[in-house]
Amino acid sequence: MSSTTETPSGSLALVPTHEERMLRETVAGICRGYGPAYSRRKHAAGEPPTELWDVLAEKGFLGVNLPEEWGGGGLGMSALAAVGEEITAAGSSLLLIVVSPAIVGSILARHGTADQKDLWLRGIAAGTTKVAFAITEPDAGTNSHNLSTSLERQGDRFLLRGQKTYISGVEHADAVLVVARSRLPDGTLGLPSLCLVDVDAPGFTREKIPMPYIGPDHQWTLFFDGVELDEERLIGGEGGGLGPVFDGLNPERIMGAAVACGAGRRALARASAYANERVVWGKPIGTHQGVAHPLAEAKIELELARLMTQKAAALYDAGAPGAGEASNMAKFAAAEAAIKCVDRSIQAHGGNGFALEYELSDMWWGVRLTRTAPVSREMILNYVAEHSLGLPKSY
Amino acid sequence: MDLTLSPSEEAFRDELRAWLADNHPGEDPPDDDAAFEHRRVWQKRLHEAGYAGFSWPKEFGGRGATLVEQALFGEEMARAKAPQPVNVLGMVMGGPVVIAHGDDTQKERFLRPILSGDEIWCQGFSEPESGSDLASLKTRAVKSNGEWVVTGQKVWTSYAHKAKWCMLVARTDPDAQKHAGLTYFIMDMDQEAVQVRPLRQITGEAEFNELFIEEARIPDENVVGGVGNGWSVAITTLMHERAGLGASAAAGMRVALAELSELAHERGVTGDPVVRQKLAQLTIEVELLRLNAWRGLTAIMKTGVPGPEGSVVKWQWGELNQSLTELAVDILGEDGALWDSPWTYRFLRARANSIEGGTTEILKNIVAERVLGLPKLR
Repeated sequence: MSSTTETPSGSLALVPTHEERMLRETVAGICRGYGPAYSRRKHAAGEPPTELWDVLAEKGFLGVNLPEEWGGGGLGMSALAAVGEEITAAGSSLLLIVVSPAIVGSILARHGTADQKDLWLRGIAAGTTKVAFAITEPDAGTNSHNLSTSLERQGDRFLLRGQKTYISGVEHADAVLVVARSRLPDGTLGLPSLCLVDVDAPGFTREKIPMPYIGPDHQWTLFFDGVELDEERLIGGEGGGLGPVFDGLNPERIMGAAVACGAGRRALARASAYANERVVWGKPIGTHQGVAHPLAEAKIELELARLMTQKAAALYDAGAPGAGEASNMAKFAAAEAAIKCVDRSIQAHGGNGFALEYELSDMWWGVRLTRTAPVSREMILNYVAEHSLGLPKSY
Repeated sequence: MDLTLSPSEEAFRDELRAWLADNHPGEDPPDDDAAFEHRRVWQKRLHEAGYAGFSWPKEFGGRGATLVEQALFGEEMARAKAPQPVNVLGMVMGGPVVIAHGDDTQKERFLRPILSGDEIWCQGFSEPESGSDLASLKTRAVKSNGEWVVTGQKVWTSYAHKAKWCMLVARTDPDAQKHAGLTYFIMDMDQEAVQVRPLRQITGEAEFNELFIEEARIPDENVVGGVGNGWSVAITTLMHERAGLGASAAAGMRVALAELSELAHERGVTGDPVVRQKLAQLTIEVELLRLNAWRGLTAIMKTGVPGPEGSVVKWQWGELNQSLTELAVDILGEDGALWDSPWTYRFLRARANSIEGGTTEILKNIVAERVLGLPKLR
């Protein structure tokens, strides 16, 4: 991020560079071997998608956004978003890419101390360390000011207590970056801190949240019952978590948008192929405008969403104002477009849209999830109404 | 909800249908004033045949029609493409208020000329700064020497330039809570202190007006329902306005759909899959509107008061009329941009449907609060 007072110049290449094309083709090529059959197999066995993670990490794709100094690719969120999109476009699923390099990596790169970066960021950039992210609680979902997980100082140590829920991919992670509020001497809760907690730390337990099939990864409720932490585990220091958290949210939204776009691409590719080959009344069904137009409309919305996602990434990478607005808009647009693409693809497939063989039902809950997470459609509309349009705050 | 008609209801419908066939006044002439007089004649003819003030009790010159008969009347009028009688606001809103809240002198004075069309009524509710939030209105009425002196401004007043009487809601107690402190008056439009300025609209007509009221006089005997009760008097008329119009609105949409389908045939686009799908969708929505309108009537028959169904019907109708006229203009292609087709007028006029008579946003709030039981916003 530029520290000068000049307006940073972000650039958005409308014609993909050779570098971007190579990146996309290589990721897509790798992922072809880890499509829906692989994801289903892993999910059924209760195992994380380790092989896919490792092969992408080995080639450096999972730290492509992070600074070169710490072993990353130095290509920013634009490149990581391209990787995320290609993964889902190939029918693969790797939820932790939204979390470990995008949220936690971005936070550490901007706010970690040199020691913390050496210990954590280097591993995240290499993909050898995976860190999940825990902010939402049963009584503090959208309203993160209401968090009640607490961090209490005891001499030179800290004790973490509380509960988190809807935390992704913890079974695949080495540690979790937890948002907790300082317990003040008078017993009330103060400003948030960010702390890194090992998944096997004493006092840290978790419970799987049963869900329909979304992908190989699972969602968890976490319990912290007096987990002990050193000061080196705090990113941004005691009570200094608020700024860092915000620096992780935009990358999360950009990645949410990117993976939704990839799924939308896949759904439309499937639908087009099917509508060309399926013949009813002597003609491919794609001849009928009742089939063709809904797909064409979804394609337009998808391309608009992809463009907005790329813009959001370019603004973020340039440290330019408007990155937050663009990230929110991209997440909104991509979720809606992806849902439309999958829904219309299912419709074009008739009964086959529901058969496991056609792999469309695998995508349904995944894209539907993006309307709700990482930030709900309604909260984005609130944001745009208030910040983009200057309308009064509604809550 | 029983959608089959009793033998007497069927007989009524057949008689009405035959009467409409014999007495249909024909289309309005193009000139606005001439069209108005044409509709006044139509109103008189309806009145002579006992079809004006159809829902009013017999003692006030009405027919004491049941709700089903009222619905049938609205449907048959729409089906026959009969024009609106000229004094629709007097019959649907003003008269029922006088009947429900007026004293004997008022009933004697005001009711019959409403039905005959000799005295046209307009409604002075909305103000430039009080649209959906009617209770915030600012027009003031002060009592002085036994009469009321009114100053303020009203807007979107249909028929004001033709009206003899205005149903006016004004603030009589500025210190009372918003909803208290309002009074319902019948104001004589025929005075210098009331200036009417027409509002030219997107269709080129001036259906609506602004009223500038500068110390207009209203005698005390023209207060309806007592000083300070204006809100409850006004609100009953609004609820009846929505409840009563459902069936005829639904029937009107059925007629419009048939006309649209005819247009599609004329223009040779019935083979276009997109047009076909949109027509099919509209057909489904027209039928839903009809069923919801009848459901609303059923609720009134059971409980005696209009329920929130009226809000759903108004909302559905507005969206439906907009989609229907949009499709018509799509079918017309470039001709849709010209004035020659009546659809162009209907398309432009439909824009207001989601605003007039309760905005779609307000109607959704009513549904959220009264049907779903969600917390009140205000």
